[in-house]
Amino acid sequence: MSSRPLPPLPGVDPATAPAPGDPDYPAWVESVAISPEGIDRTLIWASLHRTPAARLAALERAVADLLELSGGRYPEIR
Amino acid sequence: MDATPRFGELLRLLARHGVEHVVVGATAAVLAGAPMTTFDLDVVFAPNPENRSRLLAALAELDAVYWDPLGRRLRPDADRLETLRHHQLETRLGRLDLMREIGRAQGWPEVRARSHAVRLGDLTERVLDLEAVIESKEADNREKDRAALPLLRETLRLRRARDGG
Repeated sequence: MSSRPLPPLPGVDPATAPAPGDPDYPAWVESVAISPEGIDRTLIWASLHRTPAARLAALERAVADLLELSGGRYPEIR
Repeated sequence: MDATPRFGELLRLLARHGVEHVVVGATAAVLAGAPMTTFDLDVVFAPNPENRSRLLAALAELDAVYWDPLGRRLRPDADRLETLRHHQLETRLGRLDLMREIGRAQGWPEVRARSHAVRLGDLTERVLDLEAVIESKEADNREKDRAALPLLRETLRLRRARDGG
């Protein structure tokens, strides 16, 4: 699977961002990519650059995969 | 009866029957860009008699029955569509939750007013605005709603940033 380049996350300036290998890089990535509640912003940002039709198709595939894992059993909570 | 969901086909079938409806809940959030999963398609339908008739025809084609852990095959009918507020159904295209209202008594007029058109290929769907999805989750306030809120709020924030808002 290849991924096309996305615009930088809001608030990220590639000109001033630390480079991979820089000691500050891991902490910087975590600070911009993960929200204080632990939400991965990069996943959201990528999804926001897909079409609604692509999102719906991805949802159907994801649920199909989960159902395969559960042997076809649906969750009781709706 | 539970099938691998084909939500796109299910929406297309509702449209073919002329069912006035708005996609709400987690599916609306996914369409807005939230990377999450849901096993059910949540829909609010216009509660007028003509629309209920169209909906009933669509449900017959979907071979819809009420979800029942005991396996009874109870079918929706005109009386139930008129009187019940929430219908948890299984169909041949996946699970379908039909609702008369969401959140704090947000009925059809409010839900319709807070929806927007979304293109899904050759289909145009009315989908609840993400802000309203978040408000309905806040109002429902179940454990699973509270768990979803940080993701939904971050999605809304990033959507606004993407759109320059």
